[in-house]
Amino acid sequence: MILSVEVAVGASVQRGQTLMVLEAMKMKNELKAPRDGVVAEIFANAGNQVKYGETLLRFEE
Amino acid sequence: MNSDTLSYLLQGLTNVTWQSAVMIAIGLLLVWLAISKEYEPLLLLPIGAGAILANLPLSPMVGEHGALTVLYDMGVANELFPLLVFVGIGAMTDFGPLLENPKMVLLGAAGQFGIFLTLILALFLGFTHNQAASIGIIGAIDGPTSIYVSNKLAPDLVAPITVAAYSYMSLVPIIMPPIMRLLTTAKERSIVMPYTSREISQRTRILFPIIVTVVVGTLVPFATPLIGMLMLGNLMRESKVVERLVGASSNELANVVTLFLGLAIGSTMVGAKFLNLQTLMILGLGLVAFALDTVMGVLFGKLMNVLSGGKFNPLIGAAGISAFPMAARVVQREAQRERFDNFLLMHAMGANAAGQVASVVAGGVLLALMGTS
Repeated sequence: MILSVEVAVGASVQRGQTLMVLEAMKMKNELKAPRDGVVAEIFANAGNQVKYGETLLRFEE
Repeated sequence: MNSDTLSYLLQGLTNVTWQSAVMIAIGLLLVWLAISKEYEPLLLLPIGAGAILANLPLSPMVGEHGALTVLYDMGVANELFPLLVFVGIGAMTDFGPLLENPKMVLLGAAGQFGIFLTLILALFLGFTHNQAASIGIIGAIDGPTSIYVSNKLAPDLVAPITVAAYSYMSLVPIIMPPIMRLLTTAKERSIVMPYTSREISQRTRILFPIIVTVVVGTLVPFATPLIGMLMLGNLMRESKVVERLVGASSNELANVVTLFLGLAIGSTMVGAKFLNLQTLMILGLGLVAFALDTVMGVLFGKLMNVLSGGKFNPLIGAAGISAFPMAARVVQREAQRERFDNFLLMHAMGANAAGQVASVVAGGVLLALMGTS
């Protein structure tokens, strides 16, 4: 389940910045940006249950 | 009012011994650790409470008709309580990550070596075979298994062994990382292992507990009670048709029995029996057992790394113990410290689940080796 979304659409993020916090196996997992970029779209909100393989966030090309 | 009446009224005070005072202090320490430091509070608080209640002067809680004695006879002396807790644990465990990655069974086995190494060390230090085995089983890092085995082989040592086992269990996040970092290079810790979820069919999930019970029970009969109860819980969970029983096992049953278990074990922590060099040695050896489990697990992980051509992160080896799911979480954290985009959690969970089963097998093997029924 997504616990929190730390950025908004249009935000400029750096590599290593926390984008979302995901709860899995009773553990808080911080999902961090793999590269610098700008957030184009966010597909999940806090409280959503997400499935394996789901896209959560898209960067601008 | 004469002097006889007065001495009756004061008999509580006159019957305080220094040993009982120390034991009450130890009970208070356990309760403090549980509340303030949140060390395995589910067990340590009842154990501490039982110890305090049992050591108050002329305590009616113990002795022939004491309430705590009743609890002890009800489920500790006859090994019932740890088995009932195991049903709950099996009902709460998801063996999916292990079924997706059966190789992890090897790490589960490696993680139990600390048990046998500690057994040998305990023999060197002068413990009898049965006592050494009971101390070694602390390395199973599994409360019910430790209680079950030590109660059969060395019932006098159940209290210090249980206190050691649960205290160190809560310290796993502190004990493991330094050992993990000592035995691995940064490069090894950075090995990224991608996770692709494989759907495990419900049929497989149902067959797993049945097959494991039959195979392990046939090969190691002494392990049948533990593995049988663990797998019963799991079978109920995976069957999806007895949700009420699963709920009761994981919640009401596990919680009530845990309370009774802690109280009963705490009530055996009576002065002279507990306060000796032996207890100190057990506490020391328990820590050694935990450490050796991590060492052997990580070393085996390194071996698997070599055999796989550099594709296996050795940190996962540390999760091959029964402290579920804590050990897997520790591995995930340590791996993420090295590379924030490395998610080893599911791999580690597989090893952790394997460790759960392997620790039960190890317990059965110990009982078989010690030749008791």
